[in-house]
Amino acid sequence: MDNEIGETDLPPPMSDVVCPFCAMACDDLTVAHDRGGRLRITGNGCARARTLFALPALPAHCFIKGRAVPLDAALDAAAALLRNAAFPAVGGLAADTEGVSAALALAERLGAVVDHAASDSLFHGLRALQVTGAMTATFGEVRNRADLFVLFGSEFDRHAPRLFDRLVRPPTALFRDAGAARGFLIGPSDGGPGDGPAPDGFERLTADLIHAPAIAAALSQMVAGDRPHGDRVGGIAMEDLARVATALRDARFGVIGWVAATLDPAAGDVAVEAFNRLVVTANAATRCAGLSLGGKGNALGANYVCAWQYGVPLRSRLGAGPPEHDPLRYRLKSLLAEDGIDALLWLSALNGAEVPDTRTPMVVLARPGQPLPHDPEVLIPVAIPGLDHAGSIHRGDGVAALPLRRLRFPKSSGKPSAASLPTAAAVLSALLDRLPASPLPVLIRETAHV
Amino acid sequence: MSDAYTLLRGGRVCDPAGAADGTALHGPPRDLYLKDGHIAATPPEGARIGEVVDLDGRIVMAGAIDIHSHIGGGKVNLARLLLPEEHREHGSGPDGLRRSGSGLFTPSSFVTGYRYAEMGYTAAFEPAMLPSNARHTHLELADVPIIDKGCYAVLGNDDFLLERLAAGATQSEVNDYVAWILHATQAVGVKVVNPGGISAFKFNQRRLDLDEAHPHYGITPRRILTTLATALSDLGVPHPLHVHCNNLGIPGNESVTRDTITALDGLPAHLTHLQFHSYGTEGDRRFSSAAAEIAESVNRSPNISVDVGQIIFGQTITASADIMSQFRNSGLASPRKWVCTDIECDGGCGLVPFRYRDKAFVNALQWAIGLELFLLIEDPWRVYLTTDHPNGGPFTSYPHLIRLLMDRSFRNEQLARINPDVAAHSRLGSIDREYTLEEIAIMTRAGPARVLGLRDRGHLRPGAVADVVVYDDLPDREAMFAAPALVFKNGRLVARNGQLTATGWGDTIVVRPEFDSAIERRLKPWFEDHQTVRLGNFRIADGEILDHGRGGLSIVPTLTASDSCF
Repeated sequence: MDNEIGETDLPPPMSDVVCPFCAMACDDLTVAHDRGGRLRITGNGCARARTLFALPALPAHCFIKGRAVPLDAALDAAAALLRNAAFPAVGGLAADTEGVSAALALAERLGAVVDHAASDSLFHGLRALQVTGAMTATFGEVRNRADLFVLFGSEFDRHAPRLFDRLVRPPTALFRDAGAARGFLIGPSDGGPGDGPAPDGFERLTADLIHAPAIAAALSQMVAGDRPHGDRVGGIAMEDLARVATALRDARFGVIGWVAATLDPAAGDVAVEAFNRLVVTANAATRCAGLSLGGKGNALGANYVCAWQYGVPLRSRLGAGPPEHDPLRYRLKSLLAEDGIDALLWLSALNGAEVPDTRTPMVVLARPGQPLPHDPEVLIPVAIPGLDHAGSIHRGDGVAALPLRRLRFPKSSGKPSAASLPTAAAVLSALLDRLPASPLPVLIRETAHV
Repeated sequence: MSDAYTLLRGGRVCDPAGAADGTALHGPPRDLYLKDGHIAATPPEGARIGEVVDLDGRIVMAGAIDIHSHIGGGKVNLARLLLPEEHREHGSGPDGLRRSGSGLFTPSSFVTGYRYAEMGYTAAFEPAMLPSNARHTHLELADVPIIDKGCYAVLGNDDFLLERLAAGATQSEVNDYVAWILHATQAVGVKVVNPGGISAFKFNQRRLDLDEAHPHYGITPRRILTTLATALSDLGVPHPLHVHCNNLGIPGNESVTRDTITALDGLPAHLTHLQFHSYGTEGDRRFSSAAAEIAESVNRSPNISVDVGQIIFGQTITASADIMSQFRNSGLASPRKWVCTDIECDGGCGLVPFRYRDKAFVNALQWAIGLELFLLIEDPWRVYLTTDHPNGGPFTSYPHLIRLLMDRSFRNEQLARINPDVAAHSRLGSIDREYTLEEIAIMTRAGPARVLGLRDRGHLRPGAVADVVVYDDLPDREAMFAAPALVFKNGRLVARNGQLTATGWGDTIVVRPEFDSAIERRLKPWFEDHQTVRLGNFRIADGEILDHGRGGLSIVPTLTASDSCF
């Protein structure tokens, strides 16, 4: 045992800590405090988690155009900037449930467009859902049942850290041989991190993912017993695809997985639709499920909160009459690029929401250390959910919401640090209080009940 | 606390669970006193009356309670995301009181609370909370304003239970597990959905009958059903096992429904959305009503309560944990998109949008079967008003449904409009029964409160929570129940003439039976070795519900040997 003087003053390590820094939402971390007051992951966790947990809880100030100010002055300036906007937006939304909820309430007050920083990947799946639906399985089913993985994408380690350790080759599985899962990796092999040799039992089929819809469609045909025309699809030889199709038919529980962020940015939804058709086709005779991988900044959770509170997904305008959803028109990146927004509130309490480089006047609520392209009109640092305050986030498979704990506390010396920052929800509520509801005309649409 | 009373003066009180007041509707008007959010006894002479509301003989009932309505959680939210078209058509902006929202059959959370309150409903129970989705469900329900909420945890397809049953677990071990789940997920009851069938589908089995062995565990749905029903009875959980029978929607499933009642052998149980489980195979189309046979079976079984799951013509979405049935029905999706998800060695989720058409034989017959069940089941204390929202139709169609039950000529007018083969052959037209106001009060208030063990709701005796609804006695019962004159929640006026006047937060209702915490020694390694969430992160702390300042926790007392269940 380590009995160094001073060491015993440290709080004991915390187990089963939830990581808020990607959609895998691993909840098996062991986290200790080191003598420098930093958090240190001592068990489980990926490289990204080790880095982000260990960032020092630096003190942080509010700024107006680069000038340090007290919180109240920053809130007043932020309210003034947002109050007079004709077409505001609330973006980023990388936060816990409560932070997102408070951001949406503010957007509703402002009549603002809402969107998440990582919504392009999210909307590949969501637009496919809106057209065809989905047939999926959650992590727990995949871990215990999946005997075949057909994974579209690249850089799996970066987008879905611990995918192989937790789900593909877990230490134990209920209904399959945990170590014997086999599969195919379909995507570019351009030597990026995680694109080295395929793991044991896996075969790499090299293809540009722009062809993912055609590849999935050909697989659907073959799984259904047809033979597509031609020798190759998307650069993959037909006999190789035939082996994938046979494996899907022979599997007891196949998984079609994809890293949404690596799909064709312009038509990722078409790919996800094709994956879904493949899954449904395979289910005519055996079991198979889709699995979307990747995601940061609680993007899926932010979309869920918007859906349950307003009935519509993100990329909606709230509060200017009934909620208005339009996945194309209200894509925030496009709106910013065409100067369609006259005031922006950006929320990045978690990672995964890079502050946009825009001329649009901007209020930024960010975790300390968030890189900024330039000094925004107003900058208010906020605490990090899961390190500095409790809360909840959603895991990427869409069913489990996980509890976040507070791990860091202000030092007894009373010196300010990130651990003493206000939560995003508290800042947003204080902003809401400064923006009284305007007496808008009542817009209640009559709805027939029967 | 306040020392002032609110006096509701001169109402005709319809309070079937009240002390000898069940017939007051026909007696002289009486006064009702509210104080500190509760119904108060007649105050002493000289007590301060803060407010007097003259009811002029209007009808007074306790707040209505919806025992089975899918109002929140993962599958409801996915349904919202699946159908942007529904939300585009039915939206409302903020108006200073109401938050913005949208949806008709999958309304957003705020709209859900407002609409229930405006209809005089003060509590609703989400009947299909998967334990793995419990935190999401409670987060969502925390955004449903005004009404009280509670959830039934879904068990009976979870691999822990199935594995333990297959390994020969004792009833007392199962009891401890069930109690632990109720605590950990903050639930008020347990629902079993297609016992064993959801799990069997994961092993690629497409149908499972009551006495058919599970393909992996070798145990039967009958065993799962009776073990869970016994567990709740042993634990003294007031709400008995909430049962979604096997083979939902399949012609001929009436036999499995009756066999289920027989299998329960006197154990208390609640059979939900019975309409979907009352199908015969007679006639040219091999699809017929078995409502009479099922109703007879229910009438003979005082241990059984039911809700109907009436269908209402129009567009809706079916949302169920029963992925086996939903996958089978996916070809019927309208519009043609659907969702099926295998969930966490725990359960499943299936979403199939559906349009019930009055001219379609099958849908018209479903409509008639539901009404036949309502009218042929004799004891209103054991049959409750539901559409299995949104599966049969939205909860906002309850006033229409009440009129169908109370007004025979209206019912027969509707019958004349539906598919003529159904209209000609259904026994519905020959049933004379019309529900009375007292019977409606029983099936929408007193009955659900009793079967849920809510001792301080569903009636207007002193001490009850002051959830009070005042109706104009209109001959058009649909208009009457759609827009009550006054709705009080916890003694506070929240709606007038069907329009919201104030908002607030209701309680989360839970039950906490005693158990041996040694069960955690078995559960902890199970979570670590086989699940993807650790036990400590699975369990929902009280603070997660209480710390948002959005309503409290209300704990239903467990039953003791001296309490009668029915």
